[in-house]
Amino acid sequence: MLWQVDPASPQPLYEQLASSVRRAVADETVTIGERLPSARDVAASLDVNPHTVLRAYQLLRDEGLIELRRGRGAIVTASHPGRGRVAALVSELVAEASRVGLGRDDLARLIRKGA
Amino acid sequence: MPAPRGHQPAEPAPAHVTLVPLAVIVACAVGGAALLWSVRDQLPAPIAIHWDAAGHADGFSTLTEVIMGGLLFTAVMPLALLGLGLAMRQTRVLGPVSGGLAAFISVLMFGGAFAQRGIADPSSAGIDRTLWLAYAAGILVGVSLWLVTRRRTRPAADPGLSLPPGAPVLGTSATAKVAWTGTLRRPVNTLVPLGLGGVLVLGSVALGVVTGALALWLPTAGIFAAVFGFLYATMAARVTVDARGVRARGLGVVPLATIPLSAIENATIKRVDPLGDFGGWGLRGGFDGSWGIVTAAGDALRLERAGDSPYYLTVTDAVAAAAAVNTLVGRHSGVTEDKSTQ
Repeated sequence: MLWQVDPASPQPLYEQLASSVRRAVADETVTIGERLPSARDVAASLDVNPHTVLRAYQLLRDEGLIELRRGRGAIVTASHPGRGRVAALVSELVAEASRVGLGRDDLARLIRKGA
Repeated sequence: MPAPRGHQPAEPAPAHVTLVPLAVIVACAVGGAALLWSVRDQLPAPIAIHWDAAGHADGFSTLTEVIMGGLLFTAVMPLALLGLGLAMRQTRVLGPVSGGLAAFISVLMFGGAFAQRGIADPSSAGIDRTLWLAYAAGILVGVSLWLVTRRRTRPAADPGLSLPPGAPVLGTSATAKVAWTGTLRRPVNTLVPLGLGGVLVLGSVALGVVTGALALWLPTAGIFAAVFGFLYATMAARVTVDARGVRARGLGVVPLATIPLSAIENATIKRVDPLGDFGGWGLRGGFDGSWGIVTAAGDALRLERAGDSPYYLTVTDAVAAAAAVNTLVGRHSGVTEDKSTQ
């Protein structure tokens, strides 16, 4: 799977990392039961702090996309292509909104109005 | 993206890839015979030449027969292998194998007789230590020959990224950090080599225990464990592409391939057939002089290496991996990413 983080982007690095995993799950580059690389390895490859990768993994765990098992690392547990796709789009939406000066509350209001 | 199909014409290997193993085979045969002849006065008559599964000598011959037989076995089979390598343009693989085989047979046959110096009763001669030595000599000579003959003498291209048409590149911003992680494709469940290896290792140890010749069978069990363990590690390999280069690690830890970014000119995708292009599966030399870890048929990541042969990795998503390599190589060599194709 492809990992991309842009330190110049207003989107936090851990969210960008999480988006990389969501994209990979959505396009089935990674599948259920597959183990993601360790946070230390990803951090070394991208020259970021391992805690940043761990934070991304914890976010994905909270979304139900992966499981974090002691000694076994991060395992993909849900395919949820739809959910992964939505999460990836939300992530992009938040980044785009941030670029034009809209906060998360503004976005939430816009979404509610749209609904 | 459709991957180009078709075999490139095989590139003939330089003469030393054949001549060095040939010299080693001749040296093993002649050197072994000369060594044994030099100690002929200290050898028993007859000399033990065959041992049963329990390690007891059960076959004997005269010195002349031992030397003639040793010369024949040490030279004929390895030379046949080397000839096969020439015919198949596979000398980069079969050259080291034939040299290693010659060393193994030479130590086993001439060394087995040499170890009987000063023994009055040849039936008391053992083979355990010689067998260990033969395995060690075979592996040492084979690996040394591989190291000597592995490099291709193709001149390096001009510095900078030289992308062939259609090679994938990422369309990321210049400030984005990029990496790709994945695995090698697996044609069968990874438990198959583990199970098969386990059966052969346990079988060898059990045979050693039953025949009371554990020391004789342990090297065989060790070879099975090493071969099938390596096969398992290869099938369960993780591949990483990042700013340091391309790495393949068996089980995430066993170093199988490390190719620094500075040694890569570009990456493309090429369809490979393990049997047709490489003569089998695993860490192998291809018929066209390339190298690679080939675990399954289909699209593979092809790394063009500066001053060396191309390297193939049958990764899970070759297009994304190649795009990551090309993007990183472009940055490493100072080429901007204006020519993004995806």
